[in-house]
Amino acid sequence: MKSSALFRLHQRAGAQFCEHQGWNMPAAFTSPELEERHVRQHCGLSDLSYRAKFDSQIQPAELGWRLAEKHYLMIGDEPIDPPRGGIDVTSVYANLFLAGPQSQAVLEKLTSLNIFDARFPNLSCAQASLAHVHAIVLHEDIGSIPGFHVLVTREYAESVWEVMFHAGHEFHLQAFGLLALECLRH
Amino acid sequence: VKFRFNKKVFVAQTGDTIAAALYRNGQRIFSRSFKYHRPRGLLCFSGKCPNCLMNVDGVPNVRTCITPVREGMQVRAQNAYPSLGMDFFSIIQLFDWLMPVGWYYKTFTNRTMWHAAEPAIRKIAGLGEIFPSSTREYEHGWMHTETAVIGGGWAGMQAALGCAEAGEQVVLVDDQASPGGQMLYRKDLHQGAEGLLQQLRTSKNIRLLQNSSCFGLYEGNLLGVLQRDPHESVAERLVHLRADHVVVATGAYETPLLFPGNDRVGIMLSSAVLRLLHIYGVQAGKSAVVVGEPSESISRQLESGGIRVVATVSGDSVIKVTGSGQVSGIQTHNGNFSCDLIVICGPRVPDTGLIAQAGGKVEWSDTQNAFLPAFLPPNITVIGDAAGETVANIIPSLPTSKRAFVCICSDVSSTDLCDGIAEGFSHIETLKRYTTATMGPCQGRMCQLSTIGVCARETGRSFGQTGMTTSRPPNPGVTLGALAGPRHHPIRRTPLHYAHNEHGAVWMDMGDWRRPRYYANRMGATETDCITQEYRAVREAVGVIDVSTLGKLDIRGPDSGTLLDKVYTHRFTELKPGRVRYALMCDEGGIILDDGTISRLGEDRYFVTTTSGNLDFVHQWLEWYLITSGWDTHITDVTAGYGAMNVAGPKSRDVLRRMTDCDLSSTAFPYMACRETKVCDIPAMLLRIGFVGETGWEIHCPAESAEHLWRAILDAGSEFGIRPFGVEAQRLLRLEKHHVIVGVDTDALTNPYDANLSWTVKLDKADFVGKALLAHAATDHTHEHLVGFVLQAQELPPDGAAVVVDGKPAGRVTSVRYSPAKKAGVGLAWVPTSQAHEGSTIDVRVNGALIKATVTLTPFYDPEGTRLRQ
Repeated sequence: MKSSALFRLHQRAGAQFCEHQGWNMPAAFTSPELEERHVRQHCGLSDLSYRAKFDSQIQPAELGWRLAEKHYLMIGDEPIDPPRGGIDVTSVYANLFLAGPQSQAVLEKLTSLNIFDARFPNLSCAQASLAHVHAIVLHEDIGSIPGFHVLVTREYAESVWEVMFHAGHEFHLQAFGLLALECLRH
Repeated sequence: VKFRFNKKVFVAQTGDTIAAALYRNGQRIFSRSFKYHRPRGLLCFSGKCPNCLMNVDGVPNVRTCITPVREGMQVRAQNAYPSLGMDFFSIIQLFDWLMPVGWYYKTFTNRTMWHAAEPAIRKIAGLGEIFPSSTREYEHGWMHTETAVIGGGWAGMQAALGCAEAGEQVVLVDDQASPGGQMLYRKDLHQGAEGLLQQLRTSKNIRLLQNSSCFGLYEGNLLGVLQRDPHESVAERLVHLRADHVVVATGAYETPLLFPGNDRVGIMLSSAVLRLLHIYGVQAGKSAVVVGEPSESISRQLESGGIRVVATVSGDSVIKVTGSGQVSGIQTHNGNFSCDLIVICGPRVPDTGLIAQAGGKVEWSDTQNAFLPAFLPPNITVIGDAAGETVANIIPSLPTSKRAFVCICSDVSSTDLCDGIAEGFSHIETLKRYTTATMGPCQGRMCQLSTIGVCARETGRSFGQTGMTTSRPPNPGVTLGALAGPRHHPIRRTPLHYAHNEHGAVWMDMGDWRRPRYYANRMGATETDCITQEYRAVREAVGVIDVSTLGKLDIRGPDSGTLLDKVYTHRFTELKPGRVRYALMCDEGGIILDDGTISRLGEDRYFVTTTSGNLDFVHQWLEWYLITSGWDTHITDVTAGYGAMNVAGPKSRDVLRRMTDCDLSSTAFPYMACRETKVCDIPAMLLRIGFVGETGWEIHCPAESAEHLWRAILDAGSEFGIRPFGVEAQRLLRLEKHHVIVGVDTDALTNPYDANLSWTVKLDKADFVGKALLAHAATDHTHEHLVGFVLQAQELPPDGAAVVVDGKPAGRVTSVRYSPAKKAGVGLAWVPTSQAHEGSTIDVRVNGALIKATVTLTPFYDPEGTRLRQ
């Protein structure tokens, strides 16, 4: 099975793992119900590095984020239909998903990017320095719950994950797994 | 709330600041002055003056008058020896005649004297000490808003509420524990503070940063804000606040009056006395003499607060203040009075520092007798007392006395200013620099008006002609901890990081990367033992090294080869698919920038590796030439996407055969070939290259599968004696092959011809970067050359040791190691062209002595390269 760059950190945090699209991913850290409630009330951080990602100069038919004039990032769950000439960058980026009403307050401590709704509404994307690392930030709410994907190159993933938890301490940031994410989505 | 002050436990009431709690408990001396160690008590009680600076929880120079008490706080006095009440160094004030203005410049006229005196001066004079061991944490933060209101007084709150009601997002910054400004302590002004505060706190559009100082207004309406105690585990947070529109509502601050003994303990500004009385319910004294021009309301409030007003006198009638340590009375032209408190009603000065920092103009107004904003930059508004709405100054008398202190931060008296002006420093800016007036922790808030007044009087100029000193950020001062921010430095970990740990990796930092220097594989083995074992494994059996840190670029598109031909010195349009070529990149001057390999994976697809540290630069360099050319090529940085490992050694083929169906024979997979295949069912790219000089393959696979593949290689290789090897063994192995490391063996003047890499330059191809100067370098043999050398003694010189010819330094060693193959010290060195021939002898300086070495132009190991091709 494929391992996320954060596998060891999840292991140390006592995660229960599951196979998801060929990856060994954390299903839950405590209980999915508790994690879901915590994200709805405060904020949570999840590892979605298993998601397929393609770098392309051509706009994908769906799941595309426009990073620059002729630069798109396609990201989504498998199976995915990559755009012509798209380069698979699934392995390149770790995908950290920060969700919850306090998620903007956490990001405010890590990046100079203006992530508030007026300037960075849902389904916006940007590239910025986050925790001193180049990051792609995608704003994708889960219903009414604010959500932000933070994509950093894999070698920085552990460093950024730890810094996000440090910054999120005052906002009660906790890790959540795929089962809680599933609950949040429905 | 309990806290400790100088190791004694004190009790504070909820909401008290440290200074309020100490005053309530009878503490009157709060600090000792910077130079003369004179006792100082509370003066402004609003975070402006230096009199209440203390060490709080290990952080020096904290303004205790605006810092709320927290349970368990540790507060200590600073710059007092041995205590605040009895400071031996206060004897210095008796010798003030020995220390006139400009004392440093006049006394320490040579460096030796200064170096001898400096440690003592630093110890005696100054503010708090920094303790590097402090564990307090600092944070950074960023905020964006439509309107930023600086100052939470009546005007600031009204502006914030008005903007919020209009639908704007507002951030309100206030430096006190609670917004409200004068409304909190002057009951005669603007009724309804609580109602406004309630509206502020409940407004969805307002974010309130209280207990926060705005220390700078920079270009583009960027405000620097220092938030004290943002949450319990953090001492300070530095917020970068970006606003579309800035409203400066910083108000006006009261300043002291100038008279002999004006710094005594028990002399307080009227605003400070009222703050203590109305906010904290503490009487500053029992009987007070009011000096200055008080409003009726102030006298009335003092009386109603239980402070008996003995007399009210003007500032210029004061002859002296009596009392040893604390005030006991005052002698004036109107009579002598006993009192335990002197209340100063000084001029109120508009706080316009931010306006000046933003590029606005602050000029003297003859109508209002105050320095007021005269020009504002776009998107900045000034309101309230900062705009001079209710400010009307009466400039006080300015007596000349050694004990009339203008600058209480640095103990500068009005006599010192007069002396400075008499010595020629008559401009307000030079006077500031010469005397240090306005340069202390208050940054001129307590002393600027008096300094300007003395300067104007002594030079015969008006206030307007004298002008103000320049306001620069940070003001107020910011701690170094807050500027430095959190203790975090990003670390890059390869996909094999944890696997290395299991093998006992001893780490080294290479930029942000962490790489195994070597593996401490058994107890008691020395570093040299471990590295030698790793070396022998590669030379005699098989070794594997993590090379994931190499930069990796995926370049595809019909013009990819053309781009590479343009930027690299070799020819790549002619490279056949399935082949690899060494690649050297030079700048326009023919200087080596980077090297790596380029593999052609398909007709329009190349895989480029770069050195670990130069990836970002190479990527940008390629993009630059791509943008200016318009070629149809797309470059993607895939460094993090691939785990990479180099399996090398005579048994490497045997190991890999067990893991892949790919034909690894030299016929099917020759040296400098590449294949995309599967290894252990993992999609992988195999490059047959040999940096360490043995048969070997560089394997690139998806990062998420790299650890699995690494373990599989070690399992398959166990019967062949495989060992992981680290950077140190790799450097020795490559050195024996004369392989160059760009940046280690080359520098900012190295061209390929001098570094024996001329074979990588194809001058017969079309124009490429650096061609003109490389063509010249090809025929110019006057430079030094990079050569190999074998030492004739056992001792090894350090990297960088000097090469000596005829007793003069003539070159340098770039790399040196003990070579087990040669059984001698070997290395690479830059030597003059005259010495760069086989067998010549050079001298290398080692610990002051010269060691002979023999130049060799061929590799020390396997010079024909047969082992690579086996």
